[in-house]
Amino acid sequence: MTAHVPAIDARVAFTVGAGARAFHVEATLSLDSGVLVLFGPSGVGKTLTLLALAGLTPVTAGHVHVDGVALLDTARGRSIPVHERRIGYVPQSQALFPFLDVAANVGFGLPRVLGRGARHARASRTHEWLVELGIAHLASAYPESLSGGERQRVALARALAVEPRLLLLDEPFASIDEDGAAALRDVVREVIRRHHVPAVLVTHDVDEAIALGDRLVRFARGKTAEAGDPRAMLGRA
Amino acid sequence: MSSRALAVMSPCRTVVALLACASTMACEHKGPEVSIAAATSLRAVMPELMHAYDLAHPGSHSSATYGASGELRQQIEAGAPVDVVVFAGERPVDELIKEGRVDAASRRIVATNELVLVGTKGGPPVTFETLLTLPDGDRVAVGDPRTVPAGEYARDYLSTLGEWDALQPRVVTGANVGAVLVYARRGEVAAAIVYATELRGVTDLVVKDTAHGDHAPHPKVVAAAVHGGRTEGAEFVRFLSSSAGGKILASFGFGAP
Amino acid sequence: MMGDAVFPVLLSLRVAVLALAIVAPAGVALALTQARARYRLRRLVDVLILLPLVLPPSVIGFFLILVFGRRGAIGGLLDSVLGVRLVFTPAAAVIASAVVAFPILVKTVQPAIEAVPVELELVARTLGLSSIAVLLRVTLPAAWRGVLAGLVLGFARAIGEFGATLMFAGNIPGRTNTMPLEIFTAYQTGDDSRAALYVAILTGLSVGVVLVANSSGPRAMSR
Repeated sequence: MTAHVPAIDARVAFTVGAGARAFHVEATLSLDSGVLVLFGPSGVGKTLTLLALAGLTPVTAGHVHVDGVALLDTARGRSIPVHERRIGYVPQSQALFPFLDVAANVGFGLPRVLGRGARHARASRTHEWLVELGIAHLASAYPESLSGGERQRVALARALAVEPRLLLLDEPFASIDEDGAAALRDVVREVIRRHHVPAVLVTHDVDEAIALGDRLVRFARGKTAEAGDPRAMLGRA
Repeated sequence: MSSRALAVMSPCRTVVALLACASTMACEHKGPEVSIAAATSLRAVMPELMHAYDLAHPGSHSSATYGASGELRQQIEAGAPVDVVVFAGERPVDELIKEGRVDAASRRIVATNELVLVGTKGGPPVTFETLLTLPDGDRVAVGDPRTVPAGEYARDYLSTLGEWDALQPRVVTGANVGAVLVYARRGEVAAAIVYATELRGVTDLVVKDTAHGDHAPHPKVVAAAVHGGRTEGAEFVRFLSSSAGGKILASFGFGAP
Repeated sequence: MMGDAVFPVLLSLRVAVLALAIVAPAGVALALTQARARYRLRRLVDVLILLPLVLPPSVIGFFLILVFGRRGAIGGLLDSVLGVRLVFTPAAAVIASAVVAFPILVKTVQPAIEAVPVELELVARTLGLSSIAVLLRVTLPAAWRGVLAGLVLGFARAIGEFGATLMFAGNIPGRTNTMPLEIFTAYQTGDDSRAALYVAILTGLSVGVVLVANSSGPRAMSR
């Protein structure tokens, strides 16, 4: 019997800012598989924790294992640089490249994964993801002409196209209207399931947490507190 | 006028008077003024001349601006308020006469000068004829022939020597003869063509050669009164031509007219 | 004489293009550094960058001669080691133009880069780009309007340089007489039609520059 490797096994401790404005974060995250929800009000360190997992902010002490791979282990002095961690990151603002159209955005990370010469392979993979996220008709559009929901889909496609080992989503439905959010929620859940990508989702919305989360960890003032089943923890049957 | 009105008017009057003063800059002095436009080559001798003139004409106050004669000519054409011009050549004065800016009757040649080749003390010997044999990269400074009479004299002289065109790659032009001298003193050029009078009091340069022969230029200092200027302008020209003025000019190295 | 009327135009263009070729890479790199990096001497560097913008051109010319003249610290070295003399050469005109164009370029490009959301760079890193690749393929393209405005304004300043050029490169016909210097000489010698020619060219160039720079001002990137 093969040993079970958890999708995420992480513990990070770090400080941002200095002096009176220093903010300490101490987070313990574990996930067998599926979607881990970081739950809590704004300003408690959830986004910072995502950045720490991605390697986009320095961590003083801790470790990050994803699918058994040690991306960070301060005890052993090991740290894989950001651009080699293969972690997909969708920030709250989506951060689409305004000078590229949708197709170019989605395919942005592919040259590194498929090789610079494999133009045909890159084009077809880009197209697959556009179709999967329902935005194939927007391939030549530019980010400034898209709605919030459409931008979110592009950002997701871009992050997933490189087949990351972990997906980080920061309040993905915050800037979308009710109807759009519901539709997008279904798409996200489907895509994550179909491609078996573990994900960490930051939200302060209860419905979202329950709809998407397989496990939930509460965040308060920079520290993770209890963790468990989303429904049980958020008091819904 | 009521005392109130007077009280209000006095500070206003003072301010207006001050502003008028500032704009004309002639408030301190109430006597006759002479405003002189002088060639750069006269910057050492002119203060002496002005001082002597003011002493000889009590109450008078003279002032001078300096520049390349061509540059000054341009300013007068554009209407600069000058009473008398003292240029380092005949052409700029005659051009102003032709344009009716300057009074032909007042025109006088007040002094002469010599064109010399200067270089640093202790440097290699060089003459007007041997300029082309200077080491590669060594340059020669000359006034801009378009605006500086000294430069025009130099160009004409070197042309008669058949050297002007071949010398072009080495030639560095200065905006006035003072600038040419500075280039030589700074060591930026190996040799410079200036007036003999430029070397007065200068110890780091020596005369390497003097323009001579049939084609040597005869630089002249020419003065004339400006039309529409103060009558003191013509008086100043007369002073320059007088024995008193001539003595001062001679003491600064200028030749007799 | 057609030939020597055209020379100042070609000279000015050559000088400005060369000055820009020197200033653009260094200036953009410095703008990136000042926009993104936080280091101890950052404020001091900011001041040094701005200095040529504020100093009178004759002061700049004086300093250039002081440093690059035959008796200057760098000029003396160049002369004794390489036999190179900069004063009164077209190279001096390029240096003078580069010095005055530099702060304009940096100060136009820097805010454009600062306006690029950091998240764009963070995402690009996660997508596999190295830090340098991020600057070249994400930051600069996202700030392209500001970069273009900086280049164009820098070019305009370079081609219009007068005071420092006059002192450092001289106004030597056929060698260093750029258009601004020629206008001055033509004015002084009463050659109004010649002055008008260069005035027209430089005015036309400046209008073009303003049009380009205005339409590509550093805009904050929209989401």
